[in-house]
Amino acid sequence: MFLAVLIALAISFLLILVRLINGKTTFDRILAANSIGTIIVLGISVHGFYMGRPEFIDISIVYALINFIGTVAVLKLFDKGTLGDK
Amino acid sequence: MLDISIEIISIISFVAGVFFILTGSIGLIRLPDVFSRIHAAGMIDTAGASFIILGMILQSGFSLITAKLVFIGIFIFFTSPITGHVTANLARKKGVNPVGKTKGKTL
Amino acid sequence: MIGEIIINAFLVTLMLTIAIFIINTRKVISTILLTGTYSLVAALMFVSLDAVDVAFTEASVGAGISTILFLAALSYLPKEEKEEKFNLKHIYAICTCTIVSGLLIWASYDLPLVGQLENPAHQHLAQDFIEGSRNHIGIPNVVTSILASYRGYDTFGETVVIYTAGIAVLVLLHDGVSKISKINKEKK
Repeated sequence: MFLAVLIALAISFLLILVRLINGKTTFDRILAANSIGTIIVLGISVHGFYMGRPEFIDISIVYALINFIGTVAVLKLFDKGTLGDK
Repeated sequence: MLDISIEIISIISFVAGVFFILTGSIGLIRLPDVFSRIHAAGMIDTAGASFIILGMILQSGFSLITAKLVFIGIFIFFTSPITGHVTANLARKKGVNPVGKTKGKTL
Repeated sequence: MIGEIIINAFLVTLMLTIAIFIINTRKVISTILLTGTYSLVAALMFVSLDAVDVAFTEASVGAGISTILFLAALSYLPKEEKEEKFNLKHIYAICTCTIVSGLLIWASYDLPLVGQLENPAHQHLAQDFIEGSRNHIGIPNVVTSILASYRGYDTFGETVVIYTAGIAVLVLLHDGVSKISKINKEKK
């Protein structure tokens, strides 16, 4: 059951990777990178259950936070041109 | 009896999550412009992720892992709409126009 | 077992594909995004190899901090890239690299041979760690169990030091940046 979910996640990862590689605008790429982050967060948790050791899903929490911060940082760079208060 | 029903509910929730994730990723490829693709990405982030996390919560029983999974679900559920909103806002600001009936009109 | 092999093979193939696309893309920002994705897949790979501490580091540093660092560096770059001709600076750099690498290779001849039983690294505690870690801690990965449990206090101290250093750097930089921007505004 977990293996089936993992395979589905892998397929959708590949589909989103197509969009990340030949996205038309940069916003498409950012959106695809964010979705890939979500897919990986789910993948790490489901992988933990599949291997029978679900204690290590703290990495998913870390990444769920960092994914959001990274995406907002990219968008801020696009908006203001810098990341600091120049 | 309770075990079997919990198992069935979790399988149903996994199937729903996988359905939403696959639909969202196909939409991310097929839909024509950024604004409609945000809709597809939101589908992956909220519906798909929530259903899969619900399935894992039902599988894990009641322990510390459940709390961690609930945290992940809450983070994803609340940060994804913010990301979508910021992306759409910035795309509009940078002059990306939606495709379709609204073409040529000012939003 | 077969599932594990399939997962690892899939992840390695994916990493290879993403690396090829990183080389092929021409836009810097899509390279940065693809690099973040690459680190993510690497983190998943580390999880599947039971190296959880490395996966933590990869997810936070590789995918998070370095992406933001690359972006901050990108914001200082000019819009157009100029092609640089070969000049004298490159010869200095090549000479320095050759001399330093030669010295390092020469120094490495004094090291004991890799993998020999009489090496000092294999004499003391390593045997206890390798034999006892599964019974003592219950994690198959020895490196993780040493870092997180045998040397737990050490790792904790490191974390405190790095956290303090990070806060100090933030305080220093923030003060300086705000002063500089004030001076610039007054100049304008």
